[in-house]
Amino acid sequence: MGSPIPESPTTVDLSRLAVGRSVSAAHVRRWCDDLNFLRGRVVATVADVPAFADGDETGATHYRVAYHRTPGAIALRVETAITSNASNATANVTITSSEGTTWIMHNGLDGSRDLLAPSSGRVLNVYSGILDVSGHSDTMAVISLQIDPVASSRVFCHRFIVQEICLADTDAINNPTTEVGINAAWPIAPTGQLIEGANTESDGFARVLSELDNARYRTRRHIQFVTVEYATTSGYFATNTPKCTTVAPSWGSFSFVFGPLQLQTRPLHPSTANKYKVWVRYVCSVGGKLRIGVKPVGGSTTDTDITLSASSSWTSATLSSIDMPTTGTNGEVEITLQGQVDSSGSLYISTFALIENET
Amino acid sequence: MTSGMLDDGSSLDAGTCHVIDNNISHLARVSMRHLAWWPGKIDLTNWGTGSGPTPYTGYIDVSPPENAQDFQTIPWVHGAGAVAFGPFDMIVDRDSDRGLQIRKIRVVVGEVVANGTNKLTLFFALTPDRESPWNGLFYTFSGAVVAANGTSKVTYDLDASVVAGNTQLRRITRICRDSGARGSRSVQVIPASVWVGAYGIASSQSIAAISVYEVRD
Repeated sequence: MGSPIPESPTTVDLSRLAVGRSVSAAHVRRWCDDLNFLRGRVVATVADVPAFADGDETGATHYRVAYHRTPGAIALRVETAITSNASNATANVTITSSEGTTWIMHNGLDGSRDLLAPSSGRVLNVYSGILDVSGHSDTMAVISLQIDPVASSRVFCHRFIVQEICLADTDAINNPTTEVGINAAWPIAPTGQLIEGANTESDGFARVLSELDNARYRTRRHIQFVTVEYATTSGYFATNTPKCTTVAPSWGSFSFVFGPLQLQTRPLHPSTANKYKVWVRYVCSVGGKLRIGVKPVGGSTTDTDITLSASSSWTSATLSSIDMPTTGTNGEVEITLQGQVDSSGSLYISTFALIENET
Repeated sequence: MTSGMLDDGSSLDAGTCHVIDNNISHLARVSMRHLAWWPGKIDLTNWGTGSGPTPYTGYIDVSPPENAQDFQTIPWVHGAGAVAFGPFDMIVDRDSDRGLQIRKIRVVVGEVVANGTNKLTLFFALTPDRESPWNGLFYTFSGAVVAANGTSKVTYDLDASVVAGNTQLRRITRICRDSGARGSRSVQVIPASVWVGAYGIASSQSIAAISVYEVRD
């Protein structure tokens, strides 16, 4: 039997902690409860993709989400709803993880059966599955949704949701290397004496500091938008995919793609910026650049460019670190994207992801 | 961790406890989550004024009630004048006079085109699970937010510190573990959807680039 994960943190009265007084075991129990809350309840809201009328009757469409598992998270909710421009349409819908696809519950999202896509305007069928991500390594994965129409009707993605499911309880006592949190009886024994321990053990002071670090920088914020990836041979690719195009003589100059989108940073340390990793999905047959404009609200913009190698099919690019300043009003930041192509051509963007990458 | 000061059996000093309490409280406070980004754009139909067409025109399954409430001004059709986000599993750790409530959620419509005085109206709502605001079940609803001429950005905070009188927090159960060594487990959560809707009564009105995230007071 595990310890329950609290649904909220608790308050503390620091005045009871004074030099010369004993620190009670009950007091440090609050550390354990609140760290269990932070590690088990505040898990990643990975991506929410509102989609409208993107679908193809001749081939599959894809949506790709960047995901870095929170240590200890086990279940990942994946949910989609599909519609069609025809009656009685069905589609083969497959969700996969680049770190291995293990289902707790798939409801047909493993592609094992065709799913109904009601015509637009009808009541939606929502298909919800749960992936077991406990085997994910500590690296970024890609969660992919593929929608492949069975007949000759367009099947549209209506939404795609990827979110970690919080935990009901934890069993750090018996499984300290895989479970979140701390044995709530420690790190101070009832006699008031300290136990040092180690971060791989369920109790002790080292475990407190280790879980504090896990809550601080390994519970990553995921901030991303995801749009459709048509096959580059699709008749919808050139017209429906978000893009920027620059024409002669402006090749090499930047033009607007997206934004401004907004986020709120969080002060995790004395530095004036949060670190994020950038992941981009794109097609650009002639090569180009993506310019990320980062503007703290009330401040000025700092541009960062990502070079995008020429690719005639969907591919990805990564920037290992970009600063999100915490100095704006309320710590808020505006993000604007601009694109550049090297010669005649277009730059298509399907996913732009920022994943917190603190150390 | 290696330390000669934290060995087994040594006393834990009040100063160290203060630091750890502070750090935990700080992390709890800044553990706000980013919920969604939507880079798209909705070009709003010009519904004009008077007895002409309404935002309901073209939808066969919904029509305006004879005595429409403000949340029934639009049909809340995802993709046609409205965008639905979620449902997200809410965290209920916001202290209020009525006990712990859902965190405040900020919605930023980053690219608004409002041509003319009082020609563009926006609505924001937080609803249980997948409920449409049209049904009148919501944790909070903005009412009409009228964009002034030339408005380029609209920010609205969904504040459910006082949940609308006819709605209670709705819990559902999700599986949170498989049937491995510890057996199957489920957890109770409070899912909620964020809705943004708009309609215009002049040409060339649009909304685009929506951001949704939790904020503290």
